[in-house]
Amino acid sequence: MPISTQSSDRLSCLPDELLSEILEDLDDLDLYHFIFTCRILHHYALNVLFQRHCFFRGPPNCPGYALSIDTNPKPPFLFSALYGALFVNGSQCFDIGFNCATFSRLLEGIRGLTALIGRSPGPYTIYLTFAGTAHLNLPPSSDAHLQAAVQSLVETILIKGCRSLSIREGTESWEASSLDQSEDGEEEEPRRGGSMHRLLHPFINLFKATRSTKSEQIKLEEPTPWMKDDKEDSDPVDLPVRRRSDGKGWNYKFVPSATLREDLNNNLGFVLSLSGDMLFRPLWLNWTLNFLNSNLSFLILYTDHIARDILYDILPNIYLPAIEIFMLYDKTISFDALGVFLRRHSSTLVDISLEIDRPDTSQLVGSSNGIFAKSAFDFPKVEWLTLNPSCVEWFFKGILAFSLNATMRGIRSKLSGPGSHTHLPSTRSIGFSNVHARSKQSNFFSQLDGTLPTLAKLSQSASRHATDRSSLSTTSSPTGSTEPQGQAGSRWFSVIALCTQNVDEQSHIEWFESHVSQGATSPLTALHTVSELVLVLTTLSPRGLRALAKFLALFKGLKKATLTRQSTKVLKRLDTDFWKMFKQDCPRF
Amino acid sequence: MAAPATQQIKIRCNDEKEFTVDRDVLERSVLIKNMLEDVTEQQDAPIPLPNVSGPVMAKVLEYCTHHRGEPLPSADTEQSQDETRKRTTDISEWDQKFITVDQEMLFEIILAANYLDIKSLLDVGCKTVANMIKGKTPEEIRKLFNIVNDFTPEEEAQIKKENEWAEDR
Repeated sequence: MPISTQSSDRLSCLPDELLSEILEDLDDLDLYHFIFTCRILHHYALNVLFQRHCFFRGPPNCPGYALSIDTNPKPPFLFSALYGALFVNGSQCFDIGFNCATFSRLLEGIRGLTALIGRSPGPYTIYLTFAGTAHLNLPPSSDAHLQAAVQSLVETILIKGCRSLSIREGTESWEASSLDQSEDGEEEEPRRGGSMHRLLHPFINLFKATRSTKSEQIKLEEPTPWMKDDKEDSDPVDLPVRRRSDGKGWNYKFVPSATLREDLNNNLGFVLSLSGDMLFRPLWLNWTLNFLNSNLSFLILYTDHIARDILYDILPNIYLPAIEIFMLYDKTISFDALGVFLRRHSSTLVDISLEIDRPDTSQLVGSSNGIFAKSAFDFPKVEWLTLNPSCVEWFFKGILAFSLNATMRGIRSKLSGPGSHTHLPSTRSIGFSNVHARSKQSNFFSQLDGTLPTLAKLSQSASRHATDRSSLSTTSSPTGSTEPQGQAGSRWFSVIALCTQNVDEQSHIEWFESHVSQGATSPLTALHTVSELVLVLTTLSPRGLRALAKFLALFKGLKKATLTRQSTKVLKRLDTDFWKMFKQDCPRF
Repeated sequence: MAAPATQQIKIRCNDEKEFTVDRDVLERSVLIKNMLEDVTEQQDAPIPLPNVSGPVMAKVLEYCTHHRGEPLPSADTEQSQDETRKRTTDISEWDQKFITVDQEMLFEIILAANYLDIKSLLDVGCKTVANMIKGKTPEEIRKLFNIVNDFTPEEEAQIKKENEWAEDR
């Protein structure tokens, strides 16, 4: 729609700022009428409507304004008119919800967005949410049309230099919004892909936190609001270095969490988050993944509503050479399907995060004679593994089942012996998350406690294996320097990360105190290899921190603790009493 | 440097029309106020205002004279007023009577208020135009402001379809 440049009326000839000032005095219905007057005024009126309803301040990592569009029932489905939104300077985030009632609207929406992004300066952070598409009656030829449309969209995004792309599907939200509108007519908050942001960041924080910490340092991250109270505290503070008997020092260091966030924001990489049936329709998904191929380093799959046969058909066939981080959220999945996927990425995967409500344990037996048995299989070099507590048992049993099978077939070295650690040779960190909404927060810690015996076995196994390797290393390389006993073991299962920001503080305190009261009999004391603990929490009051101090003392080998918080709620600064108690309870630090 | 309130200042409009006005009246205009503060010595030469005509300046001065002595909005209050003024189009009785002029003059006053940086007058002008638009159909708005409809019927239908959401608001 070309914009007319000739106009004789006084209104259209007013300077932009004056016209906007006049239009801001109008309510929505008047603006709606104004849209029809002429092409110039059409764009001004739309701009005001967009500013009023669709723009909000972007997330912290995304300065400027974010454009949030939900296509049905409101705000508008009018991508051809979105050019009006380009008048708003500083937009760096698109948050587009496709609540599509018909296939043609979906297609038109994708094309409209492509045109919009094509005209925008970029680079952008883009959240796309497809809702309700499961209910569409897609015509037989839809795949080709959709593929062409999405190809064009992704090409445009790549050309423009997208910082982060997140695509997900939300059937539940679509249903909810339809009900809201038809029944009670209440104002419904537009569902925003921003929730994606909230979902992602704790994980990214967790991973990056484990990556960025250097050994032999205790990083207690104080939340930013505390820093704001007292500006001089925003600089890292070096506390006196204590000397160990072997002469190595441990630094106490405060690192403002803002520093970490900056680091995160600079290194987000290319994120693809896929969810739901539509995107998993074979042709489109394969095409999308193939197209992204070497650009994609971070893949998130939400497979809530996906048919199992499609998942099993697709997952093993995905191969993305650059992928480093993989997250899967699913209600149920077999170890076979997962194992084959992991196998395809054995050389590149660094982080794996799984949150599975009901792991399909029936497949464990099958795995020993199933796909794993067909050929040699190395687990990927997973350094950071995050699981929800309910699938820990399943995951390690699955690995063990494969391990036994592989040993019987002579694939694995007899020296290393059967054991789950032999298939996770590089795994350093195991994280437990409670980020995803499906996890019941109330039983998180009880589930976690249930996994402790398994973790203790893993720790022992890793420790033993380290000793074996150490002695092997000593005998096999007589001229070279050898690692001290236990040093090699520190690489395996040395970090535990708890991402529990959805769990209330009282549960945290009760959990800490229950283990403290068990003292030496607590299963945590058996985790000899754990030298680092990462905690991602929402709130923790001084009382909680005091309980935490005693809790940390249970980890016999702990050298480093990283504490991050995900809330803007202002709490009091840690008081000196806490530090006294902390030093008293944790003399090793 | 504060000057005596009775100081007379000369201004010259783009049609060579000159006015001699009390300084405190002219200082309703932030533009002129800043100009006067920048000039340290008293000057007899009139201040040129090339963007305002005589008749329009006469109306503007009428407004400024009536509102002389009222506190000028500071930057902070302007910001908070911006929040509250949105979508409220109440205008005082005197201002309403003052702004009851033909459309040509109304737009000239708005442009002059913008140029001279007289925020309160600009608000009155913009609210008046907004009040003229309120409750009118697209066709009535076009007729009122002499706007030419440059949409094709197909485009109009498409826009209507796309923007149904706003109509329900």
